[in-house]
Amino acid sequence: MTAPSQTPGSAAMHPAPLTSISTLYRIMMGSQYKVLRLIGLGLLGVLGVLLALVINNTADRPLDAVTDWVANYGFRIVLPVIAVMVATSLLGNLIEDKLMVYLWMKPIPRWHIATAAWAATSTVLLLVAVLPLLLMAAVNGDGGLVSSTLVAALLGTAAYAGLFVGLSAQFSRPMWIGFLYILLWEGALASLTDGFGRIAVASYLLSLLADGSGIDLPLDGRATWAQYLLPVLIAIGGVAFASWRLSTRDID
Amino acid sequence: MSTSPPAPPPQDRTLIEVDSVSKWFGDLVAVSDVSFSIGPGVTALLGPNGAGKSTMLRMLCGLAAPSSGSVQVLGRNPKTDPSVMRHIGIAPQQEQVFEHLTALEFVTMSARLHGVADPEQAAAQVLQVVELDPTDPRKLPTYSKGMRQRVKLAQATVHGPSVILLDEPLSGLDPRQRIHMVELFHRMGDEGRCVIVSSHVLEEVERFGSNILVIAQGRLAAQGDFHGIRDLMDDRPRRLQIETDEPRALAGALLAQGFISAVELVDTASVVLDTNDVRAFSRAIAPLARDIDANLFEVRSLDESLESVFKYLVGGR
Repeated sequence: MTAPSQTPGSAAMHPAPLTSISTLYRIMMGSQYKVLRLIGLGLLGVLGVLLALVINNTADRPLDAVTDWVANYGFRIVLPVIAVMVATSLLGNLIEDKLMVYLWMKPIPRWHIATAAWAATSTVLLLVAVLPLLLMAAVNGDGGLVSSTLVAALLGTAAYAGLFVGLSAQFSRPMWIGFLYILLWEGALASLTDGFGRIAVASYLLSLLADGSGIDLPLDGRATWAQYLLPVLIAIGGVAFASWRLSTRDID
Repeated sequence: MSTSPPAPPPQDRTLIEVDSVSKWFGDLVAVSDVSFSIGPGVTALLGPNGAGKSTMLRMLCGLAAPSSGSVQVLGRNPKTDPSVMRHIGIAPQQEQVFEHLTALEFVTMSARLHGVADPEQAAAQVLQVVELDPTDPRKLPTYSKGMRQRVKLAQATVHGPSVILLDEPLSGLDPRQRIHMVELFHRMGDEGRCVIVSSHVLEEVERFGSNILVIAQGRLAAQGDFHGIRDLMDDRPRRLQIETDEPRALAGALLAQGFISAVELVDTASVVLDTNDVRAFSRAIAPLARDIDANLFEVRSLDESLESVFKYLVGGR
C-alpha cells in the first residue's frame, strides 16, 4: 500500500475554464436527469399545449386568444415556475445537501460553478419550458407569434435562470422565495405601476411578444432595445451575484 | 501508486497558521480565540461532539470564514484564494454523495476539477490505494458507510495535496480498515504532507500520531505531544470504584499511602475513592491487596468519559 502521491494525480495546473465548467455542468445535469422528474416538470407545458389547441379551435379571434394564452400562461407561469424549480434544485440542493463542498474545494473561480448552474438550468428549461411554449404558439400557425415566442422564450430562459441561480446562492429556502417573487412581484406588483413593471422580467418578454404578434398584452410597451438587453443583463447579473455569494458565504 | 514521492520538507515548516480565530453563529460561539500552527505530519484534532472541530476544519479549508482572526494555509487565505485549493484535500464528515455517480466517476470528477493530467487513471489508482474496485459499476448510494469513507478519502487525495483535512475519517470502518487507514495517514505524513484528522475518540487519536490539538467548548484546551496530554489527562482527579471482599481493610491501606483524598464504603463488597495520582494508585493497588489478603474483583473509573477529560482540561486552563 502506498499513499496517494504526486503522480499521476499531481495538480500542477488549474483546469481550463471550459474543462471545469463542462465537468460541473455534467455533474449538475446528472442530478437533474431523472425521467420522472422531467415528465413532472413538463406537465405544466403539456397542459398548456392542450389548452392552446382548445382555445385556438373555440375562440372567436384565435390569434388574440392564443397570444394571450401564451403570454399569461406560458410566459407568466410555465417559464418562471419551472425556472424556479430547476435552478433552486440545482444550486440550492447542492448547498442544502452539503454536496457543494466537493465542487467548492477546487482551484477554480467561483463563476465557473455559477455559470455551470446557469447553463444546466437553461438546458432543462429548453426541453421542458421553451419547447412547450413554441408548441403553444404554433397551434395557431401565425409566423410572427411563433418567432417572437422563440426569441422571448430564449431570452426569458437566460434571464430567469440567472435570476434564480443568484437567488439560490443567497437564500436557504430559495424555491419559496422564488415562488413569492413570481407571485407577488411579477404577478401583482408589476401590474400596479410602470415602475415595478420595469423590474419584472415578464414585461420585457411580453413586450417582445406583443411587438412580434401585433397583439396588445399586459406589461408590454418596453423599448425594443430594452426587450433584448435587459434579459441578458439580468442573466449576467444573476450569475455574477451567485459567483460573488459563493465566494463570500459559508459553505456547509 | 507513488513512483517518486516528494522530498519531505523540513519538519518545522509551518503549513497552517491560525491566529486568534473565533467563529460565532448568532449568539452561539462555536470557536473562541484559537491560535496554533501546524507543520508536516499527522495532527489529530480531538474533541467531543459539538466541540467545534468541524467548524475549525471548515475554516482551515476556507469553507467558512472566521468571525475574527485569520487562517493562512501555505501563506494564503483559503476563503478568498481558490488557487490554494490545488494544495488542499478534504474528506468532510457528511454522508451525502452524488447519487448518480460511481466511485470512479466521483473521484475522476474531483481529479478533473483539480486539473490532474490524466484524471481517470489517477482516480483508478487512488481508489485502489483505498482498497476499492475502480471498475465497480454500482452507484455511490449503494456503498456501505465504510466504503463511502474511503471514496471520500480518495477524492480528497487524488490530486496529491500537501494539506489533507479529514473529518472523522474512521467512522464506519471495521477494525482492519481502520488500521489500513491509519497506516495510510502516516505514510502521507511521512511524505511531508500535513494530515489533520479530527476525532472524538481518544483511543483512536492515540494511533494517529504524537501531535494533537484538543478542542473543547470551542477553545483550544491543549496542544502538543500526545503523551504529554495523555499524562495531563491521567493526572486529573479521578473517582474509582473497587469491588473486593475486603473493602474496609483495603480502604484503610489505601488511605495510608497518601494519594487517596477521599474514601467511601458503598456496601460490603465495594469502595469508592478519589485520587489525584491515578498512576501511583495503579502501581500500588495490586501489592496492597496482596499484602492484606484481599481479592480484587473489579477496578473501574466512574468518570472516564471523554467529556469529563475535556471538561478537566478546559477548566484547568
